[in-house]
Amino acid sequence: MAAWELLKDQNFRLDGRKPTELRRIETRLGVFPNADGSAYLEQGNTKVLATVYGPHEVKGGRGRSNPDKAVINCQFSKSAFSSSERKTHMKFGRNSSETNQHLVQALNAAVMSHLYARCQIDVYVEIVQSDGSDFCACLNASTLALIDAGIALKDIVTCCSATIVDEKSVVDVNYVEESSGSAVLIVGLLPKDEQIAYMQMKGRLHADHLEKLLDCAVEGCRNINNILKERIGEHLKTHSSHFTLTRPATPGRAERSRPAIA
Amino acid sequence: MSIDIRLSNEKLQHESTDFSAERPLHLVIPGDIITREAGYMRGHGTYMENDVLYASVAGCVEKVNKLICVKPLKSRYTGEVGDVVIGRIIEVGQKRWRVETHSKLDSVLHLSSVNLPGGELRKRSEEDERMMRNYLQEGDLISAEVQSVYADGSLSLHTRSLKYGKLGQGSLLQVPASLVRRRKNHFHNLPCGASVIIGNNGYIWICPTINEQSDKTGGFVTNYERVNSSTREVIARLMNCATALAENMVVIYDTTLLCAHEFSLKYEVKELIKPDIAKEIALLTKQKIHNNDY
Amino acid sequence: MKETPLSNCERNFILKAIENKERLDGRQSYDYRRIKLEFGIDRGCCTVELGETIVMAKVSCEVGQPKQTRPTEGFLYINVEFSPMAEAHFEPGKQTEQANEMARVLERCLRDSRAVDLESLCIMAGAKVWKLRVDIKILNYDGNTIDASALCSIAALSHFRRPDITVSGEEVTIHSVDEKDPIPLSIHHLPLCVTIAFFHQGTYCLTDPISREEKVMDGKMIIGMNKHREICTLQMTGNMLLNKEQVLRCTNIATVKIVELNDVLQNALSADEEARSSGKPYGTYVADFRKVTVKAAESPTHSMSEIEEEARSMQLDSDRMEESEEEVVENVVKNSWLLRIKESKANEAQKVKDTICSEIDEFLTTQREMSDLQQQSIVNNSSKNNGAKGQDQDAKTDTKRKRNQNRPKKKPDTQSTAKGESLDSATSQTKKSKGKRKGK
Repeated sequence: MAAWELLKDQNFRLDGRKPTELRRIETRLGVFPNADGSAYLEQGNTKVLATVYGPHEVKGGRGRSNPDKAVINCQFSKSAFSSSERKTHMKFGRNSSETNQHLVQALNAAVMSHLYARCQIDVYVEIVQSDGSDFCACLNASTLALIDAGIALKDIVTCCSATIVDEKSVVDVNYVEESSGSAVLIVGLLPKDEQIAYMQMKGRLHADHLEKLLDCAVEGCRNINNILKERIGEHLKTHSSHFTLTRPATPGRAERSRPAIA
Repeated sequence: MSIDIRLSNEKLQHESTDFSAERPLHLVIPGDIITREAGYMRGHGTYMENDVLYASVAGCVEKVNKLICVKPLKSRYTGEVGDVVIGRIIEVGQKRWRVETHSKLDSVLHLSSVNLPGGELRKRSEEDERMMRNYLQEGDLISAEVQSVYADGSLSLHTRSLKYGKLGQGSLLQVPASLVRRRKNHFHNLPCGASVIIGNNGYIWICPTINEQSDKTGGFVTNYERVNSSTREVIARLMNCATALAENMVVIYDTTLLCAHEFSLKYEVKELIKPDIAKEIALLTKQKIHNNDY
Repeated sequence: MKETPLSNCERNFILKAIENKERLDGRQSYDYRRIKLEFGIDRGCCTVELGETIVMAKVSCEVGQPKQTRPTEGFLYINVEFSPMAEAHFEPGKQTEQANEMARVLERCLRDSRAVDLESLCIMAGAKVWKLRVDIKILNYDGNTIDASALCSIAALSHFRRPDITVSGEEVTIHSVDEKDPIPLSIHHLPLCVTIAFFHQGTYCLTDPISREEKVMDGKMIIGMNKHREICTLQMTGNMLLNKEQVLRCTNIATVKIVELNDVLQNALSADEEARSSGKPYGTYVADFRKVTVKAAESPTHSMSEIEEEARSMQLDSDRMEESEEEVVENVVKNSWLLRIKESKANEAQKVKDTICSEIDEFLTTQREMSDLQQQSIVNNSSKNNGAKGQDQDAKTDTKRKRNQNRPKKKPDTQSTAKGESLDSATSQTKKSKGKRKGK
């Protein structure tokens, strides 16, 4: 292992961040006109694209449709040019398959799937540039894409990673910190009630440090939630004209859009 | 042949025309509290938890008397009885056709819901069932009306009027379903020389003018007569106008289409594809509609 | 074949039972099923039976080239196969999501936590390294395959011996098992997994779910830990929501369980080593896991498990009792025979004694007669001095006779004393056996 100091004397990390500081987050909703919902998310140098198709009829026969809930199908893909060395990633390999499953499970906790019985929702995620916390960026981008598609969610799912370096917990790990071998905890949170929808840890960590690390990751999720809420609000405002024009401007008009009762 | 290259940086920034000044919009995000007061009926886009009403989609809150619902920017088409839709046949099944209408679930067109050729009224027999494929095949485009909605949200269609049926020559355009309002009439014969069918599910069909009298054949005979180039141009222009309106989130109905068509006349048909020209036309249309409202 | 779904009444029953803190097989909330660890004859082969779930792992190794980016590290591959013999709906050869998930969890637990030292698998940096492969096969499925597989694979890895090598310059010689004893792998710590299943939106949690409980659960949490309380992997899967307190509570439960599982593992390994070194057949180790719970104070005074245990111990005792009764009967029979033999011997001795006594009496009577005759002769031949010699001779013969009389007397005594002792021992044995009976 290279003798890099992940946490220097003045408490700054390799990229100049403080331990509890997140990377810069940039978002854009409605990137693809073809898809029902799409989003682009940047977390530092990790760049992710997510698209949502659905809800639509279940493809692949009646056997796969669920009469109670929607079937959420995720496809995760990492571009060959995403890492510093060109490496083709197996789309149907073990790691991708696991990530797909975990994305599905995390999103299932948030999507109100009883409203979409017998339907299928497809989420496609592509990592364009990878610099650590790939899964977190994927989950955040998928949430944004689902919101853009107008699919009913209980709450936004925000995801953040944390690790422990020199007894201090550090949030939003980048590639260098991730590959240093220390324990990395990834938490997917529903911020409204502070409920954990997804949790995964790899590496070795003493059980006494778990609470500290968990707190740090949850705090990171809360901060990401604030940022995402802001961005979605901005997106809605820029398209707010759509709301006024689809709504009758004056109450006296003959044509009224009938609001449908759930 | 010249190629036109534009840099995305040069794109004009969004001019948020301040229509929202009249009525403040209550914008919400999934998980936001809409109201804690009781006594409201829960509409689409909301859910109740511990007597508090939360939003489940990102959009604008609409309050009609005691009903609260949240309308998102984009969503798939959900059918209502009486809507006009345009769809594609994807499957010929037992006594029914499966129609794709860009909604949550595929719609269904029963054999008993179509007009038999010649306008006969009789019980459908075995032979009719076998002849289904002669009427409508996979890939055919039809216009129909929603007869009923099943419990799971899928639609049952019918083509029992002579104005519905298989569509012949023309252009199909797909726009977000929320841009199409429910109106009395969805079939318009535009004065510019084309007819347009605006389906509630976001499919818009532009075709040569439908002759009211002669073409009432029950909708199963397609007219393959050659369409002349001027009509084609009109159709193409209308297509581009509709695309321009859709991209800029302007509601589409006959008035807006006509306005857009009017404003587009100074450009060539192919120029309308360019985003800046499209935006200009859309903005002009928006302004005119807004002015007309007041 | 398609998986048969669980019927709604079964589902409701299981959920209702969990609300009342009861489980289908009578276990406590945090109890594990009976664990049986068995090693094979080959090094690196291990079978674990966790209740009805049976998992088998086999470790094998081969030499290969290392990765370019890590030239001094070996490989550890984990392959999981759900065979159709476990459950009819598993398809052969198809990598299901379940198998995938399990393989990934085990990889994280064993490889990413650096349980096995991969650098020790290096033979020649950049050129040759050992590639370890753990193949896990599920032989019978009744839930909680992850815990069983984790236990199985780490046991197999600890059990495994790789061939010894000698490097001389550029040449590497791999010695076969006959040439040199194979050496064990370098394992830093023993990570084990605990699966905790959640029900009723996270209100109730159970460890070691059986397959029916798994079909009903909301979701599960997998915690991989070693006995030093270091968490090796943590995963929360399933469409459920938890809060922080529940997560921390689960880690505490896992800590307790890991210690127990570790004991099982260590005991099994040491038992196997002992068996191998002493030349005995390699045996199995059985652990009863129903006693230890986290909330021991809250456990009821009588539980099914305790009653079962008592029943079992009573059964064992009764078995032993039967055995001992048989022994006693045998002993009694033997003793009776001995008694008879001894009695007969005693009788014989008595007869001998009698005969000797009678002979002695005869001697004495003859002696008296002789002495009477001698006195008469003395009286008759008082003038003659030839009688003294005869008296001396008589005296000598008398003493000789007396000695002879003494000797045979001793034999019957010793015999009788010996008989007496044996008789005593026989009686004491019978007394002991009677005592045993009374004691039971």
